[in-house]
Amino acid sequence: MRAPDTDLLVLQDLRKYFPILNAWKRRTGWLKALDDVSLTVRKGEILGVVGESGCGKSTLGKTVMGIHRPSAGRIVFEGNDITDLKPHQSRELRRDLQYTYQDPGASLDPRWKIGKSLDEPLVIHTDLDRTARQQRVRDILAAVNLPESHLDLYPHEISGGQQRRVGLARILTLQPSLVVLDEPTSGLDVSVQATILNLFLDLQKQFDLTYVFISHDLSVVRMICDRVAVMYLGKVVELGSTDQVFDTPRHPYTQSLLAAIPQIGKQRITETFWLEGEPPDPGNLPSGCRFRTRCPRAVEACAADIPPLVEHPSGHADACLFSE
Amino acid sequence: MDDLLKVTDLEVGFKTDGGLARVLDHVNLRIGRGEIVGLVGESGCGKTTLARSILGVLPANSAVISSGSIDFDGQNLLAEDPKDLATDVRGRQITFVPQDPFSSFNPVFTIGAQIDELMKWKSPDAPYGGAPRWYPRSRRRADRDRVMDLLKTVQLPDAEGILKKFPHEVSGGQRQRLMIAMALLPDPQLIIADEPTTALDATIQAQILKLLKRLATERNVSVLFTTHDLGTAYEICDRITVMYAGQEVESAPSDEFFAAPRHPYTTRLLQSLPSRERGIQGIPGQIPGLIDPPQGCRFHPRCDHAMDACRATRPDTTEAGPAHSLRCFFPVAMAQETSA
Repeated sequence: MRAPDTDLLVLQDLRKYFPILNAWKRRTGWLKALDDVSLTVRKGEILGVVGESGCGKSTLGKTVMGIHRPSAGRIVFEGNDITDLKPHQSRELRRDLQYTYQDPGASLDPRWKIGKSLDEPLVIHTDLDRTARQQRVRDILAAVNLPESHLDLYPHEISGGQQRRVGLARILTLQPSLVVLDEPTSGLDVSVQATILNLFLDLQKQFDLTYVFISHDLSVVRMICDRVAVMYLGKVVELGSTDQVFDTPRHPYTQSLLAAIPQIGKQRITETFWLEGEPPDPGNLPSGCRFRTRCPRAVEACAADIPPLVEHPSGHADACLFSE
Repeated sequence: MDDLLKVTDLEVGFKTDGGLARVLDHVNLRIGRGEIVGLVGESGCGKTTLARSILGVLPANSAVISSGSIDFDGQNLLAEDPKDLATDVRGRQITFVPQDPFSSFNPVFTIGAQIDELMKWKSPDAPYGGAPRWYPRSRRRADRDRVMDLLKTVQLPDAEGILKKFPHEVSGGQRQRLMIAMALLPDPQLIIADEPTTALDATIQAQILKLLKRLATERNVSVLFTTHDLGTAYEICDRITVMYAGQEVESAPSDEFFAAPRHPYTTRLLQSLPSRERGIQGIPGQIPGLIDPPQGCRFHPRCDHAMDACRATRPDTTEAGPAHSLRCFFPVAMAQETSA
């Protein structure tokens, strides 16, 4: 086992079930958004969490942040159990643990100038005086490559890529140690996406950050992540280093996901793609392995038990009875 | 080549509070019969405006078409009576697959009722030249068979059952399959697909692309496929046209386009795709505003090869090879030849 001090964040058997209510507000079932998810995030790494919509990857990020209260399981951050913190206790934690929303425009107050939005976290979390705060805001704005004149603009006056930079600047003013990035490049054009990704990498070095990078875009994840967790309907089905997951995927779902990425210059996926069908209703999951309804290799044994996430000696883990 | 659609020197502007936004600036586009053409560009480059101009659904109170022509199958769509376009061309010869299939269905009617409505007006057997007064039983029966056939062709499970469902009861992938089926039902010559897979997951996107390519080839329908994702364009397109800030900058057969791009913007765009070997390279600078766009070539403020000529005059579309057209004074390969 690794020394525990390198594990910044540890999730143990984390569950988040949402009740499914009928028209009379009676519970008719559970939506298992996270089901026994165990992950560790090591200090200084970029952990990618990938999966299709509805697989629970955003719920994972929000549960870590305390936006959702977990139904079961433990969250340990820097050696402290933060699973059941009271709101006033968790305020201390916010400084170290930060989250960027998918839509940066929606997370900025439209009636506040950028300067005020950047100042606010410092007012709440630090005792700095006005001049020190202004200095800090200017430093951070320079770090995300925005001109100082942007402090006097409103969010609607700047582009989507710049809004994302402001969102990032806003959380970096507090110098957190772990940042959860929820779909940080969705909705950006490729040329802008490239500059934003470079910015993430620069800032990581500059501020000694650890990222949890939640994304559905596998080519981006491959570029910047150290390790990758693949999720399917609330379960982690494969976990390993980026090279392991992308070069030798073990779980059939990961294999199909990789087979679905268009690769310019390679054989076209319209000729090779093999997966049929769509994911089942998350409120009414199949028994056993959740992928078995679409899996070409499924046999009877797959329907019996949920296959556990088994770690191989190489550190590459997957949850399939027949992984090769 | 026999062109089904030919857009020549199309210029479209939108009236805004700040002045006229020149969204399309002398755009040229050709689509051959049975060809799948990818219209690629970043957001705000005018690809949706071009698609809407072809369909004839630009907002009448703000859009200004100042010059150019759109020739479709021998007729100039801009010169036709809008009423005839609505009854005989749009939805019959040219159909549309939207980006978001959910907002394109009416939520309060069943899918079957909406397909029925479509077939009443736009079925291949429906009379041309105006609205049908009634829907004869014989035609209704033939149309119903046609619908069932096509729903099976687009691989919808339980085709009978799905007609009785409401749009919210089916998944996103199935809604997009229905949209493709509905676009094919009138037996069109051209389908305009506006980012049809952007809202879908990777595995579903692969399935839909596969389906669209197979059906277009089998039925010999031309497709104008707009997308911001070069990867999906590579997957299904025969030819690719790239737009930047309201101008088409390069157009080439798919293989040639990815192997030997010649416009500086195209090369930079291809380089900004994430890749392990190359690292991440963006394009410095920003997309220009369209109310007061840069003089000359609209890409020159961000271009490495920009010369005085690029700043002064707008390059015209020139032939750079068979079926390869270009809008640049100093194309990339040529620049390398002169420096070598």
